[in-house]
Amino acid sequence: MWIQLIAGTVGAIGFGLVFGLRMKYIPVAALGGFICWAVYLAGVNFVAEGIFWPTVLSAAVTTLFSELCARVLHIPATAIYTPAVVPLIPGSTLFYTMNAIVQNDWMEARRMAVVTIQYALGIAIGMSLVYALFTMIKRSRKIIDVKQSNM
Amino acid sequence: MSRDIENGDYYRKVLDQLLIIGESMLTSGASVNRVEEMLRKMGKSYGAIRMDVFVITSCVIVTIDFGNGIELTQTRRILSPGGSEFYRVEDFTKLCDKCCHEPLSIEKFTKEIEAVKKVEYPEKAIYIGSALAASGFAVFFGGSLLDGILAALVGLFTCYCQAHVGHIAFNHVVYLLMCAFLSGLVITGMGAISENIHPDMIMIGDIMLLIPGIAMTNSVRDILVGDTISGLMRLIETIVWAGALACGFMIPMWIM
Repeated sequence: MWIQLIAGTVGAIGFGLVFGLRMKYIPVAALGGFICWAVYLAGVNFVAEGIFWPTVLSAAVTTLFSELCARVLHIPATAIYTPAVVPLIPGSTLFYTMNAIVQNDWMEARRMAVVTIQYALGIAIGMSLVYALFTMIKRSRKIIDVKQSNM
Repeated sequence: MSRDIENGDYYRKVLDQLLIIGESMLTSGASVNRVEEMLRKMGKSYGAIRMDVFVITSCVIVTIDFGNGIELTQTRRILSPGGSEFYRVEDFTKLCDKCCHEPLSIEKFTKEIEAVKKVEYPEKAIYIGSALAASGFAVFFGGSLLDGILAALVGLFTCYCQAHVGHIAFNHVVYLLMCAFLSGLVITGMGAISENIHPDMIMIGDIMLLIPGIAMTNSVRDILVGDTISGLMRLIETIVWAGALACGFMIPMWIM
């Protein structure tokens, strides 16, 4: 478990550099990567079996973390979020799916495709939930501001 | 500047710069709805009474209405599949925020855009990043430390291929196919040297560098958020790209 956590964090640092994140934000992305995989592991062990719900939970927490960091550091949230969420990215299963197709093994391809979709959908849903929440908070703040200035 | 305003040049220049910013942000990895929102805000701060912005991953269309009978439309076709250069997205966002609060003169604005475009990320950092990412994920998915070290070396090679194949490749599919083939060749060669090396683990580590996993996840998010066309386009593209990668990595295995 620790090996995966450390390896995931190293991977997040690597992707932070590949994606052209400024050096001063790399530690934040690394912390994000660590949180992402830690929450996923906690989700698998304590919340729900399978892939989908732990992925939703982990993606939501990681997005929340990056949105908060983005507010504090004044940078776009995607810059922190993208390298941080990399441990969840279904890169290996997407490859296994295509690998099975190339080898003409359609049963395996279908199985791996379902796993890939679960990850991709889980990440997207977790991310969209937090994104919607933040947009609503921003809008309600604006409405309150307008009301106050009219008073 | 007043003469510019009289003959309509001012308005054309504003729209020009907005399109340049939109295009650059999109190709640097900003999300579609962020670019739309940013362009809308910028247009309003430069005096538009109505902004109609339509952005998809391959095209930016902006119609800007200044309310004095001047209404302009321009389109940008985007051919590059778009990378991830977050330092640039960050700089553009800062510039746009600054302009929304206090619009710069159009000449200064043009100069600032040029300055942001000139900033380059150190190449060394990308190589180090590729090595770290490849080794990290080789170990992450169950490889040994030796696999991690070898994956880092192949990661450097993959990064070199990415930097140089792009210039000659016909399109992104061929580009990925070539990168995957060359990396796969090196990895299968390594696997033949010793039994302690797990070529599949090294391959997965290096695949993470090439696989469009992030693009795929973002496309699903785009669909959920409501940017359906962009999302679907990117989703289909990523599936084709993943297929190209699989073929690229399979060919050396067949040969060996």
